[in-house]
Amino acid sequence: MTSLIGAENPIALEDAMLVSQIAGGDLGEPMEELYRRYAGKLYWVGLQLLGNAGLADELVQECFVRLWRTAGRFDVVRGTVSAYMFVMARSIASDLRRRPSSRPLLAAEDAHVPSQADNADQILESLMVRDALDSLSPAHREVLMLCHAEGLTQSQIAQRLGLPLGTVKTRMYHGLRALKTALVLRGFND
Amino acid sequence: MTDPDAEHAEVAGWLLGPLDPDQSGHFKAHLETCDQCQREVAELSPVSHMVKDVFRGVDLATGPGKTEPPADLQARTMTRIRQASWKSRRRRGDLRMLAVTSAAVAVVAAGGIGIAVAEAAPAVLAAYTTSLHHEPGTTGSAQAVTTQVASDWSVQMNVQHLKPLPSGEFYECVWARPGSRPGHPEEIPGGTFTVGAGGSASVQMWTAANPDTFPTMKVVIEKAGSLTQQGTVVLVGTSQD
Repeated sequence: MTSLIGAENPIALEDAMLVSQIAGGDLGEPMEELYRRYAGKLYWVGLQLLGNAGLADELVQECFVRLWRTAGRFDVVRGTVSAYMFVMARSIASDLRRRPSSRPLLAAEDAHVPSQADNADQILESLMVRDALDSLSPAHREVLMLCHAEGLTQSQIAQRLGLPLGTVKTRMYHGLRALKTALVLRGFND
Repeated sequence: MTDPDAEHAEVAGWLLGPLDPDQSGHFKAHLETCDQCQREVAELSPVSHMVKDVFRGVDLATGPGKTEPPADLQARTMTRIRQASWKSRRRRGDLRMLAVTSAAVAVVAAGGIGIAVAEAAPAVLAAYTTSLHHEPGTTGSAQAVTTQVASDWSVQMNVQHLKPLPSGEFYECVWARPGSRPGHPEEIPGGTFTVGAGGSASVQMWTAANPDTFPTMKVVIEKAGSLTQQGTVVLVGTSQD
């Protein structure tokens, strides 16, 4: 699994090295780089799970504090840093939801904090699939996005990109295979 | 569709769709007789379903990566981590001091001669945080963490949205006692810095100003060669234990 990360996912390897530097006591550039990479996605998770900008703000801060505390225990063989952080975000969202100060002043009908995390798994899965898509090479990601986001056929994609149809078919096939590998690295098993 | 590799590559189009009608019919016939493609369809089908689920009904304009967190969240997050780190180091430092003391007592009690070697990492003795806000007519903000290490005070400060200064001018940190005022300043100057076009900077300084005695922290604009220390105050804040 380690060789998979190194050979096929340089971003995941970079992430793991940054966490290793944090575990070694460097709280400067490695932490700031991981913030740049993941704060936006974590903030989005916070908004989806907690429905409140202030709580999403708190979730992001707590995620990075926990990352610092647990960096030494991160095991690159067990998965990617992104999966590690998203699972951590889900746990923190659950904690924040239970914290009394999350909703002391709002009447029940006014509170925007979702009462149940029924959709937490769906949101987390959505985020991980998107993250896996982001980790693909631009050529692979492009054909998959055109297919899904715009609903184009392979012939239409070939026309849009000015590529031979066979190239589009090959890229889509290898893109789907690379996506499967990326998902396995994020904890999705066969 | 005579190239075997091209036929197998059609698996992705079959799963992700939509295929063009003639391609779809051709691959359907091929799939019925090709064990390899049947295995690949079975293997990759869950992945294709997950991707379809992600894009089904999702507003791409508000998805992850399209939502920006507050601009000052990074600085607040980094300050919180440093505070947690320093508190942790302070606790460890206290324990280390206790361990060294205990070891020394044990050596004396045994009547022997020994040398206790302590870990070299200095203990943090006190920590303060300061949020600096801009004065009227100026812009920017800053967060600083000041820690006492041995007899020195280390200051880590992150500033945002400060105006880039013309050549020959710079920002300077100043710590002031209560009651300090123009004409009767009781201040200790600290480090100087500049900011880039984005107005941000991360500054590491050392100062002799004890935040207990000099609780007010200011950022002022100074000019090269000026010794008056009466520059325009841009940011100001009070240190909190």
